[in-house]
Amino acid sequence: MAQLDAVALEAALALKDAAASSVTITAVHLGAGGEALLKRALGMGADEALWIWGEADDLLPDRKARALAGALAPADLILTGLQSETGMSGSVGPFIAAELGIPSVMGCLELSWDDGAGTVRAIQEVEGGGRNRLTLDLPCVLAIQSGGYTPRYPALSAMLKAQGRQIPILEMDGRTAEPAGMCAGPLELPQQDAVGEVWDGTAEESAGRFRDWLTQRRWI
Amino acid sequence: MSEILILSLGSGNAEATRELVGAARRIMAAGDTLEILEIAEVHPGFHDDVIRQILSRPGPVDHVFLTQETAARDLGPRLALALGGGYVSGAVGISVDADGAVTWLRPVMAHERIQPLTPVPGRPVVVSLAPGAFPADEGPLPSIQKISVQCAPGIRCQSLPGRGRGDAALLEARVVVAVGRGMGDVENIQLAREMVAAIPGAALAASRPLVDAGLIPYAHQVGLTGNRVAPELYLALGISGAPQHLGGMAGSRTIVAVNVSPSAPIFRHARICIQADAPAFVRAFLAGEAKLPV
Repeated sequence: MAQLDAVALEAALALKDAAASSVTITAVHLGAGGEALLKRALGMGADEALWIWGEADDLLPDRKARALAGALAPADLILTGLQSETGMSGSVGPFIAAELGIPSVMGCLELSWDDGAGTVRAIQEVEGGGRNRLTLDLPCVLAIQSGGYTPRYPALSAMLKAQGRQIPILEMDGRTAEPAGMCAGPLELPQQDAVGEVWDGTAEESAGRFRDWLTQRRWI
Repeated sequence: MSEILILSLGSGNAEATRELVGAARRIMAAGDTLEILEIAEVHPGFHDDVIRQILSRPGPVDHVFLTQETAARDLGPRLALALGGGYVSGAVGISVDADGAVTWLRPVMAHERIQPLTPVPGRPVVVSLAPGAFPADEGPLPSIQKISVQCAPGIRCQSLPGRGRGDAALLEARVVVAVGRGMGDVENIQLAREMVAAIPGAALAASRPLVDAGLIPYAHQVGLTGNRVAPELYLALGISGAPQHLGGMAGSRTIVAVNVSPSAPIFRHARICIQADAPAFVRAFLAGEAKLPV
């Protein structure tokens, strides 16, 4: 499981632990590799799992959001990691929120219930170490930043129990086939357009050369 | 003729705004118009009103440029959907062919691949730029329209005290020795501290993952959500060069990067690119120091 996804799941588990009333956590995965990942989520403490299956390999976030929005619509609170390690756009959450017409917040560090008010509180991290305290009506989408929660390690007994669970599979929403807002070309290797000198000797050679470089410039 | 909008979110963001203008000018053709909308205070509750005001403008909007900061990352996808257009998150490059067709380039797969994105003909595009990826435009800025926005019901926001200023020695250092995941354990960080001690005027910095892991205090974090530094020399040890980190050190005069991966994005910003295992490099540097005559 990607680290930021694990952080988001941990945020959900912490909210459930702190809830005065019953909370059900459903872990949802889109695309390949869902079974092992979702069983780990169940082992960590998720109550249910849902694997949404179909072609989503162009990494386009608006297409992913369309695929997820229908399945997520009944949820009171939708948590995501800040961004995926594959698509890296950090925009699936806001796209889901826009599809569903509900608020979204990026970069949440800590969450808590506002008991009895039907709202959730979030501490949001912004640039330069700034922070906002937000109170949001439910439903909403929150993208969780690293640093606020440390994902728990699943107990062996919980993992063994999860291994025996059948993961429901849902075919992607048909609207996923609609054109996305952009056309994605084949992935490319990054250009090696280093603007400076490349030193590719051994660590010892480069360290000696760097020391000489510092000395010539009177840094040391 | 295209209508191009720059969204300048938050006050005091002049350098980032100039980078947006620089990218916008790459796609401008004769007759295109460029305008800056400045929104001084932005948080998630304001997004609906920002979008409403953009949609109510006379004439269509063809391109919108914004930064990759927190507020923009929430606003960009919503704006793209409202405009019926596409969204490019964290563009690091652009190519424009002889016919003027634009392809945006953005990193995916943990920076190991680049995804080219082309607009759907006739549909607007919202583009967020990775910090430091495009040269700032140094010319006179186009007209700036300041707009005020209303908070939507459903979200209440209160600003909290920040996490405080960064480490004073870091903010004033002429040399910054910064450690990332490639130096990510206690023993290696101690090596980096010894390297700092060996270079007069140097201070230690770290990328976010090491701070999140509790290995280095927040006061030493460099990046968009940490400190912004501009030393004479920035030595990046085991730092891949994620845009969020580059946004905090792009003003450094000279960048030297040590990374075992030749495709590390930091190398596209470094004056000297040392392809080596960062802990081994630091050990060798310190071993050489020990042999020098006193």
